[in-house]
Amino acid sequence: MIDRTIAPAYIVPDTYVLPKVNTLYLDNGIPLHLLLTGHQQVLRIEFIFRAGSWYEPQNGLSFFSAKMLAEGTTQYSSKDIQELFSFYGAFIELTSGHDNASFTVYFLSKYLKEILQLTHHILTCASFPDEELQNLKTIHSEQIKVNLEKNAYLASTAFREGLFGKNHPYGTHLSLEAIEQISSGNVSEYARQFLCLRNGDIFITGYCRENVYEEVNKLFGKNSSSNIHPKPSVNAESIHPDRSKRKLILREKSLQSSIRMGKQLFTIAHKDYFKMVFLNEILGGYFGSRLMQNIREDKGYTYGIHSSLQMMQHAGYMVIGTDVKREYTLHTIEEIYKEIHRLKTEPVSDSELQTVRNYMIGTFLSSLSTPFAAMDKFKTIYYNSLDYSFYDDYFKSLKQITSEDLMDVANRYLSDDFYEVIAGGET
Amino acid sequence: MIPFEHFILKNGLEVYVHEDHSNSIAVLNLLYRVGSRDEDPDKTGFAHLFEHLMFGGSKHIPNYDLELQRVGGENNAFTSPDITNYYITLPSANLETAFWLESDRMLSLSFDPQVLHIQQNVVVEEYKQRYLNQPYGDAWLRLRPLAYTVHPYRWPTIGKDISHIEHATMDDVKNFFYTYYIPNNAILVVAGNVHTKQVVHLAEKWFEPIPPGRHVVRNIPAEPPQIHPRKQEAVGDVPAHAIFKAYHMCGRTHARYNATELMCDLLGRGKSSRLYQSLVKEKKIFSSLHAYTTSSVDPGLLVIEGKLNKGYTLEQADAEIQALTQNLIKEGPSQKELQRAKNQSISTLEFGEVEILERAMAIAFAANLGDANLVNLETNKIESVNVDDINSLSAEILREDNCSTLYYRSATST
Repeated sequence: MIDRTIAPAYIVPDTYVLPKVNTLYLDNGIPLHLLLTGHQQVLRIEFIFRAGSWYEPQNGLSFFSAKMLAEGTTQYSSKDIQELFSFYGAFIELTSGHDNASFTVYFLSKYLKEILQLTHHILTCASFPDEELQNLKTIHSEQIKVNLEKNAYLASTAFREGLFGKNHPYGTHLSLEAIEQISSGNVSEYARQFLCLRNGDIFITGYCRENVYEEVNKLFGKNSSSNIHPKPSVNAESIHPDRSKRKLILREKSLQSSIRMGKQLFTIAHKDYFKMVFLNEILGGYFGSRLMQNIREDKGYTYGIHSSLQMMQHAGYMVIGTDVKREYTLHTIEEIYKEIHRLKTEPVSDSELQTVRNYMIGTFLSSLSTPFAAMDKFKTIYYNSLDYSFYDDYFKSLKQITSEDLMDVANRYLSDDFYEVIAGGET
Repeated sequence: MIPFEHFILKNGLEVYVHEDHSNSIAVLNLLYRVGSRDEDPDKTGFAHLFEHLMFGGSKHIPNYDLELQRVGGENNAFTSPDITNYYITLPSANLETAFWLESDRMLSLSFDPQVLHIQQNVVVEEYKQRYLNQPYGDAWLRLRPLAYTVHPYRWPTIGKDISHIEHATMDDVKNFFYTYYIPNNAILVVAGNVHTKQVVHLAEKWFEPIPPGRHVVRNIPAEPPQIHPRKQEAVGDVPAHAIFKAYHMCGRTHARYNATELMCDLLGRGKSSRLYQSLVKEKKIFSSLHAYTTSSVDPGLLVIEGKLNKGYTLEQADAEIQALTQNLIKEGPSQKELQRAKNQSISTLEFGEVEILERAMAIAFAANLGDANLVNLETNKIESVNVDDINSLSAEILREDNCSTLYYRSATST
């Protein structure tokens, strides 16, 4: 009989493998980042432009410029484009974030040439037809109206707005009013300036037998390119953030309240970043975290509670979020501050420290297990002007961080005056 | 292509091994053949509540999560109408910990009353968060009992009523455990940086001593064919009218399953689909509209779901969907249109195998259908569907007599 009370021996891995991305330049200087590895016969190509909300002079321009890329060219209608991509078994994503906007295509490797031609055509000949724009405006307005009925959406958008200020590029969200103001003229102008190849990078990831560089260079390396350096639309210190402590969005009929609370921090290049990542993990970053154990597992107030660090290129913040039983809203906030207070006053025990350390090392290893994930890790350092030593340092920090380090950053960065948003009710 | 090895333990546990040494991680996926379709109509939501209880401590191990986190592992689980699936990812050097943890909770849970009490609360909050506190959140709570009259797919996995979860007793819990959480009702897949020999050794060591249970016999009532259209209306504080149309279709192992999926895709998957191009893009009646299937083991549903733009009534929108489905029946897809749907489907399969965990799950799901090798036959099955298959299916499925329609009216929108 085996003794099931004794846990099997385990080790803590002391190395990690992260396949490195190869950065090449096309004849005209456009950077092409390649990671050609993997087993499945699939590829992902991403065109990433420094064109997120950080750069837009008007709310929504980045979003609609990106979406409109696939809505028509001088040669193809929106429908043609959709049919062509899906014929190659390809899936496209057009997204705009705080810092960047991107055009991504997932496809079967055997269609590399066809997809390169199609994407090149789209990026050089997009025509931004007005009728398609009107249609997209209607569709996204309707989606926003649905979101406006969701406490989680209301709380998250109000939280960022309060933290950075309504007109700050990191504080805005796509609103119905902003959509009204969007016209095909200003969309195509923004796209011409910002969503163009000379303002972008190309990233290709996956399995391919062909000479990818050559195929890309043939099409994308031709026209002369001068790298432009887009300026942000605002000189952004926070613009009129909400100075009150708590914002309540009253929702009479809600059974639950969505809570968001936190504060601005720093970017990932900051010297205390790794320590804060570790501290955040303990507080609310994983299932065994203190908040999850307290609010969900001990009290049963919620299905889940999480704390996270959101890092953009020019700022970062910490946010704790949960949906809780309405009558326990204020009690939950109290408990969150109690947990924060504990982090500031009591050293983390050796066993908890060891558990979180090992857990984070393990999840770091498994977060590197696909070529796409490895490329995403590269993008993080690339867009923050860091190099691969960032991950070596991170891995080292996971092994070395002490309970003193954690109490030190807790006292410097956590406080009991977080900005709080409640969507639902206080009672 | 996902290569795998296979063996069965003396207690009936099926084990599959998929080796991939390109990484230093391992995955352990344990599928139990039990879902909400196995529940008593008066005790619904139980399979899912049980999934929560599986993390509340086992016979020799009080804290599952803590022990796993300590060795760098993470885990999760989900419950569907057909199965409950548990999975772990961890550094491959610590694979044995995963065997220790999973085998102990298959052996016996701790059956702690406090754990039951807390998890009942957590699940009630999950119910509110997902189904009651969301616009249109209760649509599926209404649609299922409309489409199914006798088959247990008529309630959702979360349960048909919160009170069922609140009233669950420890006796129910024990009963359920000893009926379904037995080695001869489970499928274990181990994948990643592992060796078959090592897995054989660990499986024999940790799982083989667990006694088998009584063979699970299912007496699930078959849903009788629907012969008349069914309609229901709901009104809610939602920003736009919405429509749901659910048509009966075959189950996952049926010979026509892949053809049905493809028909569904060309109707309503993505922006090149017929529904999107015609009713969202051209006629602008809907702001969103798509079709999908429930992909269930027993006969499932093909669902068309959409939200209306202002100025249109639900009756108009319904008529437009019917005109479009009639058109598909009459004219059928072109070769090119079908090939497009096939390419999308094959590409989805290929992308779905990038992660080791996804591969492990794919093997487990296929084994649950009766043959793990199905996982490698899917592409050929998709390729072999032809236009005639689609034509005979569309005429059979896309009928009002075979359809349950839910009008979800906005109290404020006109």
